[in-house]
Amino acid sequence: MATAGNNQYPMPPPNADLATTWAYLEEGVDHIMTKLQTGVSYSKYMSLYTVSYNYCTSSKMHGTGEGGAVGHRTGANLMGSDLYNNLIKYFVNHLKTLRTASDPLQDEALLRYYAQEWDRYTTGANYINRLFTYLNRHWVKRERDEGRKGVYPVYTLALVQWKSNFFLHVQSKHSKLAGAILRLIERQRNGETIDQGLVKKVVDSFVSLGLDESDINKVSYEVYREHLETPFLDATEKYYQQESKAFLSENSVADYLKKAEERLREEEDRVERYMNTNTRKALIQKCEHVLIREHAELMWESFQGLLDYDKDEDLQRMYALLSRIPEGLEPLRKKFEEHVKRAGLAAVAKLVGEGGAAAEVDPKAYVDALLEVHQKNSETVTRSFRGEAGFVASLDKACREFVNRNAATGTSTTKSPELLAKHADALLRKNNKMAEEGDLEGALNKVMILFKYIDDKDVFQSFYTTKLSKRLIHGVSASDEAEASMISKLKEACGFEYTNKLQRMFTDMSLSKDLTDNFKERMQQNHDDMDITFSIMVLGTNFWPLNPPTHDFIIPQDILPTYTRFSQYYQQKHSGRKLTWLWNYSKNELRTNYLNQKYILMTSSWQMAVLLQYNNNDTLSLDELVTATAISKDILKQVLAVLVKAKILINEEADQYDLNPGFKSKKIRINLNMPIKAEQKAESTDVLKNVDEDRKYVIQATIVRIMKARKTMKNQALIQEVIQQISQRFTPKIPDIKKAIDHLLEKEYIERVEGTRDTFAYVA
Amino acid sequence: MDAQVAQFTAVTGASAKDARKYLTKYKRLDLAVDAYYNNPPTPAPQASTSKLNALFDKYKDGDDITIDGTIKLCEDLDVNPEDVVLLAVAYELKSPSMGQWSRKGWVDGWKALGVDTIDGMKTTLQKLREQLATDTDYFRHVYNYTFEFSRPPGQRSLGLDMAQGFWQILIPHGLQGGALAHVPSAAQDEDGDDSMDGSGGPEEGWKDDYTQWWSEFLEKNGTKGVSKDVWQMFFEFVRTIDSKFEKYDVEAAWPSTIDDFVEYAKNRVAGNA
Repeated sequence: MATAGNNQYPMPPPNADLATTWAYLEEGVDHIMTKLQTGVSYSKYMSLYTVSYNYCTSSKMHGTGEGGAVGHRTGANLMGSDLYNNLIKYFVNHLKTLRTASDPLQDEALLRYYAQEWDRYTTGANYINRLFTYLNRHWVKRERDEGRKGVYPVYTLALVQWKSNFFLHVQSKHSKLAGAILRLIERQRNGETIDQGLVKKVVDSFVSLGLDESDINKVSYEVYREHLETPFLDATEKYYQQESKAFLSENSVADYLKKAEERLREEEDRVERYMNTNTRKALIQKCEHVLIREHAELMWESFQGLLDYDKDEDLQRMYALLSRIPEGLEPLRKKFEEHVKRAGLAAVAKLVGEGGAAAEVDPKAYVDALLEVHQKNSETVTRSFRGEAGFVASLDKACREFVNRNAATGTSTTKSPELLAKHADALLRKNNKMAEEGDLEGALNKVMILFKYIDDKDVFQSFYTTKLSKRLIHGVSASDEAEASMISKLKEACGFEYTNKLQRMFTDMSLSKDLTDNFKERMQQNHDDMDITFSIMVLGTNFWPLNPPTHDFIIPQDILPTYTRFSQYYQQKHSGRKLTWLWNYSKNELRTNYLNQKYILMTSSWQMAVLLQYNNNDTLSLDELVTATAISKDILKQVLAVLVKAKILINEEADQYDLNPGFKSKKIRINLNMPIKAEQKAESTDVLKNVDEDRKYVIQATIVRIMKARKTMKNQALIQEVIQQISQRFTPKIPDIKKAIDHLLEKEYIERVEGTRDTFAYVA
Repeated sequence: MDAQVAQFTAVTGASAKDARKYLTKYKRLDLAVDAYYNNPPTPAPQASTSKLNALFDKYKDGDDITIDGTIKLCEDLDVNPEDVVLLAVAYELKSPSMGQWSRKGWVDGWKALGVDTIDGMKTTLQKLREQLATDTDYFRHVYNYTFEFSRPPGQRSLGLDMAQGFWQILIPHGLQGGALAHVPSAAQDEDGDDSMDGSGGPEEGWKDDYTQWWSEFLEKNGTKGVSKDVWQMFFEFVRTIDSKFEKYDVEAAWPSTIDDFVEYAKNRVAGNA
C-alpha cells in the first residue's frame, strides 16, 4: 500500500501549487491517521515534512482562492491558511466516517469502538502535528499572537475537531457515551466485573478534550465536568440513596455501618482506578452526605444500644463514619456523657442500696465503684473513639458530675472527698493487704484519677491531713516511700501550697526522732535513771490538725519526773517555744505486777492515769478518780467502761470501781486503747468546720489580691475572677463570695466607686 | 445638661446654680425658663451672724448644743424631736452626732438657709420638710448623712434599732412625697419596652409595708448592726425594686443581706397572695 501511494502521487516540486501539494499531503495524512500500523517509511515521512515546509515558505502568490475559512492573505500567511483549512476539511471528513460507524453502537461496544478510535486518532494526530511543525511555529503562532483564538496548533486542532464532530455528536444522543460509562460503573457497584482499563481510557479522553481557550497549554476540566463528573455524581447520589434505604429496611444499623464503610472505601478506590483525581473530593462528599449524613439521626439513635451492649467494633465504626461529617459527633458526645453519668450514678445507687438506706458507705467499695465506671468508659473512649478530645471532655464532665454528686453524697459536696481521703488512708495503713501485694502504687494512682474530678479539693486536703497525722502519730503508716509518693502526686496535681503542710508533718516526725534520741543520750550522761521508756513527738501547731485536751489532767506521779526533765531539756534547747502536751493523743504501755501472769496493757493516757491509781488502792469511787485525774466525769465514765468491759476493773456497785484480782487473758499484750465514740464522731464535723472557716479566708484573700492588682472592678467580673482562681481548690458559692465582698466593704479594704452601684475599688 | 444650663443663664441671667435647680426640676429647657419667670428664686436674705451666735448661746451647754439644748430648741420650734425634718437640719448644720450641734455648723448652716430667727427657722423647717419629701438627690444626701452622724464613734456600723428608727421616719416621708418614687429597672429603660409587660399601668414599686418587713427580716436574721454599704444600697434598692420583687437581679452587686431579704420578701408576697 505504501509504495502504491508513492506511485500515485509523486512528490511535488517546491513551487507546486496548492492542489498538487495538498493532494500529496492528504494522501500521507490519511495514511498516518488510518493505517499507521502498516508503517510509514522514513523517506516518506521526510518528504511529507519537506512538502509542507516548502509550501509554507514559497513566497509566490497562488491566488487560487481556495483558502475559505481563514481568508486571503499574502505570502506565508496565505500559504499557512491554505494548509490549515485543508487540514480542517480532512478532519471533518475523517470524523464523519467514524461517526457513521459509531451510530448503531451502544454501551460497551460503543465504548470499545470509541476507545480504539481515540487511540488511533490521537496517535495519528501526534504525527501529523509534527509533520506540520513549521506551520505550527510560524503561521499558527502568528495568528494566535494576533488574537485569533480559533486557530490552534495542529494536534489541538485535531482534538477540537474530534470534540465537535464526533464526541458531541455521540453525546447529543442522550449522553450516549457518558451514559455507557455510568451504566458500566453501576454494574460494577452491583458487583459485576468490568473492564476498568476501558473506562479509564474513555474517561481520560473527556479530560483531554477540555480546552482552556485562553491558554491552550493548560488543562481544562470543563468537558469532563459537564459531560461526566456531574452526571456521575448525580447517579452516585441516586444509587446510594436507594441502596442505603433498601439496606436499612432489611438490616440492622450495625450492619449498615459496615456497608457504608465498605462503600466509602470502594468509592475512594474508584477515583483511584479510573476517575480523575479532581473528582475525589466531590464524590466523597456526596457519598458521605448520602451514606452518613442522611442516616445520621438513625445512627445517633442507635448509639445508646451499642454502648449498652459494649459493641466496641460497631462503636468504632460509627465514630469513624460520623467523624467524617460536620457536627456528626456532637450528639454522640452528649449521649456518651449522659451514659457515663447514668452509669456512675447507678453504680453508687446500687452500692447505697446494698448497705441499706442512709447507712455509711464503705470508702473502698465506693471508690471501687466509681473507678470501675471511669475505667470502663475511659477504655471505650480510647478504643472506640480513638481518644478523641471531645469524648475525653464528655467523660471528664460526666465523671466530675457523678463523683461529686450521687446517691451516697446526697446534697453534700464534702462526702466524696471525705470518702476518697478515707480510702487513701486505708491504703496507706500498715495492715493494708495492697501494700504487701506491691500494688499500692497502682491503687494510689487510681485515687488520683478520682481526685482529679473532686470539686472540693480543700475538703480532701483536710481529711487527708487529719488521717495522715493519725498514721504518723500512731506509727501505722505502711511505708514512708508510699507516703512520699502520694504527696508528690498531690503536689503535682495541686501545687506546692497544697502539700506544704503534709511535708512539714514529715519533717516534724524525723526531727522528733532525733530529739528523742538526743534526750535519751543526755539522760544517760546525767545518770538520771530512766525506768520509763520514753519517746516524744514535737509537732508544729500550725501544721498538725490536732487539738489539745478539752479538760485538765493531773499528770500521774509515776511519769511526772520524765515530764519535767523533758520540759526542761526542751526549754533549754529552744527557749521561748511553748509546749502543749497532747495527752489525748499519747499512748502508754503498763506492766502488771499484781497478777501471777505478767501482762502488758497498752493504754491511752486517760486509762493509764486511772490504772496507776490502783497502785495504791484496790477500790476507788468515781468521784475519787475524778479528783485524782481531773478528767471530766463524762469522759472518765467512758474510759472506765472500756476497762470494765476488758475485765481489768470490776464495777459491781454504782460508781464504785475495784481492781479485778482474778484478771485473765490469753494474750500477753492487751490493747485497751480504743477510740471513744464521742471523739470519733467529732472528727468529721471538726474537719468540715475548719474547711468552712478556711474557705472564708481564702475567698477574702483572693478578692483582696485581685482588687489590689486591678484597682477597680465590676461586681460580675470580680465574682467570675474569684471563681476562676479558686475553683482549683473548691467551687466557691456566689452568696459566699458576696458575703466576703460585704465583709471587705465593711472593713474598708474595698469601696463602691462613687455614683456606681456595681463597681468596686481597692482601698490602699 | 451643661449646654442647657448655659442657655438658661443666657436667657434669664440667672446664676448657674439656679439654672441647674430649675432644669433638674423641670427637665425641659422651655418649661424650666417658664417656671423661672413665674416663680423666681427668692434671693437669700442676709442672716445676721451675731443673732445666730446669740441664739446658739441660748441653747448651748458647754461648747456645743447638746441633748438638753436640742430638746429646748425643738420646743421653741414647735417640732417633735423625732420629726424627720431634724435629719435634714442635721445635714444642713453638719451636726457631728445625734443631738449635738457645733457653733460653726450652726452659724454657717442657718446663714446658708438665710434665717436668724426662731420664726424664720420654723418656716425654713417647712421648706426643708417639703424638699426632703420631693427631691431625690436631697433625700439621698440627708439619708447618707443620717448614717454618718448617727453612727457611734469608732464603729463601722449603725445599731439595728437606730437604723430601724430612721428608716421608719425617712422611707415613708420619701415615698409619700415622691423622692423615693419608683424607678423601673435599667434594662427596661434601655429597651424602651416597658409597655410590653402587658399589665398596662406603670410598674409598682416599694410599698409602705415593706419597710416593716425589712425591719422584721433583719431582726429575724439576728442582724446587730447595719453597715454603711447596706445602708446606702438600701436606698437604691427601695427606689428600684418592683412591688413583687420579681425583677431583682441576684447577679448584680447588691449586698448579700439584700439578696436574702428578696428571698424572704418573695416568700412573703407569695404567702399573702
